[in-house]
Amino acid sequence: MAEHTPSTCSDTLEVIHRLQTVGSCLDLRTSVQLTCDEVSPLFDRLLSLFFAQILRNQHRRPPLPYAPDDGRSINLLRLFASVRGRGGYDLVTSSKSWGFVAEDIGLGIQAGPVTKLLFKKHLFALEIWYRMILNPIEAGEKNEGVAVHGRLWTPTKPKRETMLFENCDDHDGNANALDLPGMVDWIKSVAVRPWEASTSDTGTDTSNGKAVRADGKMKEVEVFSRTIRAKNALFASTHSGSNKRQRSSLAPDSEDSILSKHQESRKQRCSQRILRSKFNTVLGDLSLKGPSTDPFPETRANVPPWTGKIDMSNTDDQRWLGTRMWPLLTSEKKSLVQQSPHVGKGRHRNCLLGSGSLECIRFHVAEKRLHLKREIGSAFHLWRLNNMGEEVSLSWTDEEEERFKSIVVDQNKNFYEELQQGFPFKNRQTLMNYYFNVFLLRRISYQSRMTPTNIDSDDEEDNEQEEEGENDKPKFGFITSRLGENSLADKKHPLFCSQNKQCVVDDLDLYTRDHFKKILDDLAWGNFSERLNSDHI
Amino acid sequence: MAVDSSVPAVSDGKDGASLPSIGPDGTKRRVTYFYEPTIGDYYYGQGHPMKPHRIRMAHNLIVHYSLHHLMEICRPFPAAASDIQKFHADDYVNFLSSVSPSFHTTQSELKRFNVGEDCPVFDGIFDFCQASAGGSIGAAVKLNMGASDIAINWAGGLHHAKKCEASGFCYVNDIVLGILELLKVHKRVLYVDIDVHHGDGVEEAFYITDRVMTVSFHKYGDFFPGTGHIRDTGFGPGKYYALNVPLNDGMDDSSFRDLFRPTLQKVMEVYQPDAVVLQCGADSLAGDRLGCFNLSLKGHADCLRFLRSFNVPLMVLGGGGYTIRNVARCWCYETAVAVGMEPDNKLPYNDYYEYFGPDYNLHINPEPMENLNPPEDLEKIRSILLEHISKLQHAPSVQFQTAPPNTELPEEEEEDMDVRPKRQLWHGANYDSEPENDENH
Repeated sequence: MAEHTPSTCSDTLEVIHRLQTVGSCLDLRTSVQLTCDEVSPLFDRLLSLFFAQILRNQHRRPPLPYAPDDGRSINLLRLFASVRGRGGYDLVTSSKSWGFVAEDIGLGIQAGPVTKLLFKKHLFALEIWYRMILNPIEAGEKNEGVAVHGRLWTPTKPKRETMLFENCDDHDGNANALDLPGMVDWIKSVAVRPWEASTSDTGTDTSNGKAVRADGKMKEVEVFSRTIRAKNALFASTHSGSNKRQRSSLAPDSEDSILSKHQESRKQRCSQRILRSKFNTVLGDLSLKGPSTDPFPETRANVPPWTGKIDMSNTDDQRWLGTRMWPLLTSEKKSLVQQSPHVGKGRHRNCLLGSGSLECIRFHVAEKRLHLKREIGSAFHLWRLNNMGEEVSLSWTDEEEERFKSIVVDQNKNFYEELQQGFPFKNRQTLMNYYFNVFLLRRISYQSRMTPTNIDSDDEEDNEQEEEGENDKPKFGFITSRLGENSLADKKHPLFCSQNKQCVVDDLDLYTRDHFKKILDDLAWGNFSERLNSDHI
Repeated sequence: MAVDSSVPAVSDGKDGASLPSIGPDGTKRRVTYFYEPTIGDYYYGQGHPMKPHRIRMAHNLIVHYSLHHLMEICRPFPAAASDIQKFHADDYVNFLSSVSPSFHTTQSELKRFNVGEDCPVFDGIFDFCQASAGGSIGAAVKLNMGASDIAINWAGGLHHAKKCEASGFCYVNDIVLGILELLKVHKRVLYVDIDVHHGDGVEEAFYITDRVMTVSFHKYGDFFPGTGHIRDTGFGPGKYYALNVPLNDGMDDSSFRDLFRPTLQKVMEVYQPDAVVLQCGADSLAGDRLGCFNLSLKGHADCLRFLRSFNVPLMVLGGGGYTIRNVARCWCYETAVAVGMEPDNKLPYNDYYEYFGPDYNLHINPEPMENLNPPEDLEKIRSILLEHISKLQHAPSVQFQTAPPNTELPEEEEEDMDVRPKRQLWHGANYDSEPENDENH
C-alpha cells in the first residue's frame, strides 16, 4: 500500500487546488511539500465538503467508521489510497482482493467484506469524482475544453431522475446533483428571450453544437421538475404516515437534547409546512453559490423592494381609518354630563352591603352602567354596551329563559342546534348573545360561590365531563334564576350602600321582583334617578 | 387629540429604554384602538375554544376603566376580498367569501383549504375575517400617517393563517396584511410574537425577505403547529431575519423576561426597525385552556412595556387566548400599559363582573406548576439567539448606516420581577393600587 499513498496524496492536493481555483475551500493551505500525514486532515475536509456540496445532501455523510474489533478510527485516506492503488473499486471487487485492502488499513485479511462496505459507503462516490476530475478522458469526457468550474459542480449530465434517491451504486458516475443555480439562470434567460434559447447558454462547449447543449439543459429542467414532484410525493407520504420525528436529525446534538425532548407529534390541523421547512433547511444548505431559489414561493407574501419613495397621496387610505367612535364630536360632548373621568380606577371600596352578595353586585353594575351611559352618550350604543351583560335577559320572558336553560343543560353536547329548533323566532346571534351575556355569567357566578377554586368559563360541555367521571369539574347551576328574585326574598340583609346615599332602602318588601325589573328597565332608558326621586325619596 | 389633559398620566417608571418622545411626557403615546362592536357576536361553534366574545369582554373592561379617555377609538373599515388578496390566494379568498354553514361545499374544497374541524365554517365567517383584517390594516395606515404612536386591534393577531389555507383557528392573516401596509412607508418592520403557539403563518410569509424580521417565543415540542425550531432562521435574502425561541412548559415571568428583554434589545439595536408589530396572544398566560406557560399579566404585558419604550411606531394585536376571562383581563391591562396608565387591581363594576369571580381582581396569580425551562437551557437558547442576531450585521441589503440612531439605550430602571408574589390568594397590595383596607368585595 505504501507505494500507492503518495500518488493519492498528490491527487488529493490537485483536487483541492482545482476546487480553490473556483473559490471553494480557500482556507485550506496546501503545498506540494506536504507529507501524507499532513494531507490526511485535508482529505477529511475534502470528504465532508464533497458530501455537503457536491452530493448536495442527497446522501448524508455517514458517521465516521470505527474498526469492528477494537474501536480504533479508520484512516479513510489510507483506505482510499489502497483501493485506488489497486485499480479502484471495480477492479478490487473483480479480483477479490478486499482482504488485502483490509490488511493495508490494518484490519486483518478477514475484514475484507467490512472494508468493502466501508469503502462503498464513504468513498465510492469520491473515487468516481476523482476519476472524472483528474482523468476526464478515462471517465468518458472527451472534451478537454469544459471549464473546471462546470465539471467540478456538474460533472455529468443527469441520465436518470432516480439518481437523487439512489445510493452511490450508479456506476455511470452520476453521483452528483444538478446544477440548480445554473439551471435557474438558464430558465430565466429562456423566459426573457425564448427565441434565443439555444444560444443563451453560456457554457464554453461548442463542439457538439448549441442545440445539443440546450437540449441537455431542457432535460435537466425536466429532471429537476420531476424530482421536485417526486420529493413532494415523498413528503406527502410521510405526512400521511403521521407522527414522524421531523426535526431532530437537523439539529446539532447539543440543542437536540434541550429542544426536542418531546417526540414531535403533529395534530390534524398542522399544515404541510413542517415538511416544507425541512425541505427548506435542506435546500438552505445549498446556498454556497450565492442566491438560490425559494422552493415555496407560493407561500410567501409579495414584498416589494424598498424604493425609498413614499406615496402618501393615496386618498384611498383614508377609508382604512374607519369610523371614529371616540372622542365624541364636540357638539355632543357639550350636551353630556361633564365629570372628571376616573381613568384606571377600580371599584368603590366602601360598600357595606355585604361581601359579594348578588344584589349588591347587580346594583353596582347597574349603577356603573348608568354613569357610563351619561358620560359617553352615543358611544354607549355605538359600542353596543346596551347589548352586554345580564341586561340582555330583559328582552327574554321567564318561560324563554327556563327553556333556554333546560335545553343547554339537557342537550349538553349539541345545544347549539337544539336551541335553534327550540327558539325558531330568535336568530343565532340573539341566542348566543344570551348564552355569553346571561347564561354563562350566571353559571360562573354560581361556580365562583360554590366551587371558587374551580371555575370554568370556557368548557361548554360540563355534563359530558361528569359522565366520564371527572367529578371535580365545576357543577352547573344558578344561584338565582334571574335578576336576584330568590335573593330578594331574603329579608335579613337590608340593602344599604354608602356609595349611593339617595338609595337607602330598609325594607326589601318594597321591592317586589317586578318592581326591581322595572327599575332595571328604566336604567336601560336612562331615567333611573328621576324615577327614584319620584317614587321613593 | 384623545388625551384629556385633565387626566394625570401615570408615570409608572417601568419603561426600560424610554427615549424622549414627541410629547412633553415621556410616557405618553398617542393611541388608537380599533374595535368592531359586533365582533363578540361571532361564534365558532359549540365546544370551540376560540371565542370572539373575549374581545367584547375586554372592551367592556377597558371602557369601565375609563381608558377610552386616553385614546381614540375607531370602528374598522371591513377589508374587501381584493384587499385580502394582497396576501391570500384568490381562490382561497373566493372560497371564504362564499362559504357558509348552510351552503354545502365539496369535501375536497374544505380539505384543500384546511377548513373543517379546527377551522370550522361558522355564520358570518367572512365578515369576521373582514373586521379582523380591516382593523389591522387600519392600524397600519394610522401608523403610516404618523397619526398615532400605538395602534391596537384585539380582533387581529391571527398568525397561523396561510396564503392558501386556514390553520389553527385563523382564516385570514391580518398580521401579514397589516405588515404589507406598513412596508409601504417603513423600510423595515419587526414582528414579535408572544403567543404560546409559533407564529408560523407570518414567518412563512416573510421567510425570504429582510424587510420584515420575525421573532417568535413559543412552546416547542409536541405542540401545535410543530414549527419554530431555533435553527429556522430564514432563507435566501431573509436568512437570519426569522428568529425562533422554542420554550418548554411552565415559563414564568422572570424566565420569560430574562429571555425577551436581552433578545429584543439586541434586535432593536441591530435591526433598527422603523415599525414594530407585537402579537399579544394571551394563551401564554397562566391557566390558559390550551396553553402551558405560566405568565402573569405583568409578565405578559412587560413585553409590550418594553417594546413601547423604544418609541417606534407600534401595532399591538390580539391572537390566541382561550380562558376568556383572563384574555379580557390581559388585553385590558395591556391597553392600559399602551396609554401609560397603571389601573387598579380591583376591577370596576362592569357588565361581565361575574366572569371575574371569586376575587374580582384584574391580576391573576401564576399557577403552582413547575417551570420546565431550566436556567442552563435558557442560557443556551439565549446565546444561540444572540449568535444569530450577530449575523444580521453582515446582511448586504440592509443599510444600517442610513437608519436614524433611534435606539441608543439608557440604563434600565426596572422593578424586580424576579420576586414572585407568594402562593396565596391575591391580597391586592403588590400592584401599586391605592392602599386598601376593606374586605374583598
